[in-house]
Amino acid sequence: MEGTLNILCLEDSTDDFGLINHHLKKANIDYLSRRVESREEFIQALNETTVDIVLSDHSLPQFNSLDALTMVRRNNPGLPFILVTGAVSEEFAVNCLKLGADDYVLKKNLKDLPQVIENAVRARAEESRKARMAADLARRNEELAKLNKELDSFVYSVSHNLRAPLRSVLGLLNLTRMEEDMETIRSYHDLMEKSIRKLDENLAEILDYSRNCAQELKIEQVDIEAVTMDTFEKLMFMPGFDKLEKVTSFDQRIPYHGDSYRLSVILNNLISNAVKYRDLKKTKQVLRIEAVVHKNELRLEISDNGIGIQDGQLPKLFRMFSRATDQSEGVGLGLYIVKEAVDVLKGEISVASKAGEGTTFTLRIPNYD
Amino acid sequence: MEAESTVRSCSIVLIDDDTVVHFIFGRLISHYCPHITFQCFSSASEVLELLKSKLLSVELIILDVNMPHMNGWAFLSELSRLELSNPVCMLSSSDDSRDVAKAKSFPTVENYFVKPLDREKIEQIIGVLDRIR
Repeated sequence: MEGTLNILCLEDSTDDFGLINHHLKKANIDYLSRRVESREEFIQALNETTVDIVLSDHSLPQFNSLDALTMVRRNNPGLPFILVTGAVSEEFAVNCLKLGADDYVLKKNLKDLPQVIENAVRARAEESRKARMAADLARRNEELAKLNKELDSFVYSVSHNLRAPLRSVLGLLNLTRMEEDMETIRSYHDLMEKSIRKLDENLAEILDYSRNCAQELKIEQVDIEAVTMDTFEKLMFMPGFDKLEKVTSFDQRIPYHGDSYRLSVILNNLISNAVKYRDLKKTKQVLRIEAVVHKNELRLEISDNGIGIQDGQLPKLFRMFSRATDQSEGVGLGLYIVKEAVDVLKGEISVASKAGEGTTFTLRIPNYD
Repeated sequence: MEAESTVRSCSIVLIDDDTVVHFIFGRLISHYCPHITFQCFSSASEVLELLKSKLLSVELIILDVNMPHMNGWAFLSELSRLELSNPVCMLSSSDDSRDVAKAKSFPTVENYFVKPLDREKIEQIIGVLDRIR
């Protein structure tokens, strides 16, 4: 037994209480005992003090051990309860055990009490340990079931998204077989390339996603401007990138500390979205990036005057496999990955958009100084 | 597609968000059955609007499943909600039995084809067209 055992004695006889204490002391039990003799005192002691075990006499004026036991079992099913009584019938004792008492000791055998207490406390501790483990197991099972379901839908969607461009390539291959004209066949090659690039982009997104999940945060000083320029360089060959006018401003008078990989994932996805969804009807297509480093956070605003997002699509924008427009070429992982990366950084992201006018993403990411 | 107020009429409408599929479909049809008229759309909701306002008259719809905004299933549900009984053939890159079963649960679905389209599938589609005529 660990620590001091808090014993609550329901006992109207001070002599018997003295005897109980005598036997406990003799057995070197580390304990504190308190005697109560009325229903009110008993309830108050249970509610307001720490009680590790109840020792209950059978018959008291206006109260008896069965009432006490019922009360304890209703409110605290795991609390050890031992009947300590004068003479009761065997039948009564068995009945008490059936109702949930841990054990009983006759007053003429009080020398056995320390051992009975020890056994009861140990059994109860074991029981509660098992209950905790069972609850823990149930919780983990639930988590795993949820993960499994997510994985299932992930695999379903991903395989579908990977197969679609592959099937297009197969279809184009079929077409080339019925063509003789070299010019036409070349145009099929261009379309195949388009599909293969799409497939490659999908794979890159999935890889980003899994790396974001697996990789630990790596905190270092990050030059936001350099990460942005790197991202620009990576996207240089994306169709339409050169058409986009970039307006950037970086205020890094306070140095930013964070995870440059996550930051580049975020920038890469948001900037390539601005390229993909630029509004061809507008004469000037503009991307604005504004970064200000504060002592406690980085504030990043990325806005464009692209096609915008329809109101109804905004709430599910960051969900896995959500694709907001019919023009969408991706699998619907990009903004989900952004959200995941922002979550890993313990930051916040919000979006404001109007169809036909443009979209603004606002991010607040802690400065891990 | 530019907006027209006149009724457009054709034998087959293809709905798929991948324009490569439009291209493949168009090439196969004009190669093997040039007499069949068709139109391709990227957006299921656009087709739904046209059908609803009776601006489009079509004998058979070829429908992709996985599309953004309104996917194939949502399109089928909307069709039945609006009590439009245009016959549909599914065209998907998924050969998952759950998808096939789901397609069969819609009474307007005549057949389920797995991409890619080829001569044989085009002939089957024409077969469906002949049957419903």
